[in-house]
Amino acid sequence: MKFNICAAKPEDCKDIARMIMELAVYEKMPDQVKISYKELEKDGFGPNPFYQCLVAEVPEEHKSKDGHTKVGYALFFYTYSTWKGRTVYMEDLYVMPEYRGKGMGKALMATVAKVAKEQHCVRLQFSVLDWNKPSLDFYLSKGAEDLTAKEGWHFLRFHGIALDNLAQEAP
Amino acid sequence: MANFILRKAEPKDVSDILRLIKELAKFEEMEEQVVLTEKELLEDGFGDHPFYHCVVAEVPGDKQSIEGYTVVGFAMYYFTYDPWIGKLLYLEDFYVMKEFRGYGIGSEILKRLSETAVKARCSGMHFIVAEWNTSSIEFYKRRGAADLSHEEGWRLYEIDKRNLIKMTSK
Repeated sequence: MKFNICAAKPEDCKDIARMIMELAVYEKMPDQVKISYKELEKDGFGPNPFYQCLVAEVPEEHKSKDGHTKVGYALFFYTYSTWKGRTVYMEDLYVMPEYRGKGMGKALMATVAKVAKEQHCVRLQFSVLDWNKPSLDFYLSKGAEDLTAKEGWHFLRFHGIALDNLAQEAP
Repeated sequence: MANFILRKAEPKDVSDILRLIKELAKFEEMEEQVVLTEKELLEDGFGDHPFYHCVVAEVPGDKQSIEGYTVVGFAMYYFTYDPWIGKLLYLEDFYVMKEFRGYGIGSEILKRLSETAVKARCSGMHFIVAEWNTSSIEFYKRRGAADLSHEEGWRLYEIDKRNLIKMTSK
């Protein structure tokens, strides 16, 4: 099946928001999605973009059951390692179930890797849920390493009230 | 010693920042993994497109360290994005020299960062900690941090440069 990977445009935000929700449902955390396509537009396409996004698109004749032609996305941003320098962090990678197995996930990730290389990034990082075997297998086949297992890294977070409380103590 | 200031890092601070990065890496038992140079830190933090922001803790001349340093702590951070909740502040490195601990410098740095996060309308502050680093984990948990690896099962993965290049050439 023919498909195209290209940089997302502001008008893609509704499709991206739709797919973000689909991915959250798959990750069993749909109630945690709090932002809409409006924040995505403001935060991704303003003067100071907080993320970059690629979209996988199929021609009209291959549109989904619900009539969508934007069928996958990869959302990423630049981070920094004090040991190694510039890094790309891939926050989301998703292809709608009916379009899997056609090389779109691979193409999206390869395009993120290409952008990373162009920006002189030394690595690509991302996180995966420990039960998500299909994704783990996909990433491991591309040479990914589990740093949580290898080096013991855990993700921590200050969120909501905890963050406000901490900030209120600031002089 | 209540006498210290927190300020935004300037280009002249890069050698102190690199020194502190190496000290923290040594503590994390991964000193040989630091390949970053002062030149890269300068270009990446103070060039046209900053990849990070940095706050440093400085003591007066008369309180300098044994080796004569006045920049005694730092925090490096940048902004990331969560498609579920929006902007986040990501704390990459956070370190205070051993001889300057216990004076509230670490606490002040963390408070300053959380204030920055709230002002920038971030929904949260994220960071990673090595699971054996119980003193740091306790420091964060006392302040309300949640362990997402433990609570939700997130694991950090990485694809290194060699494999990145392999992916682009297929």
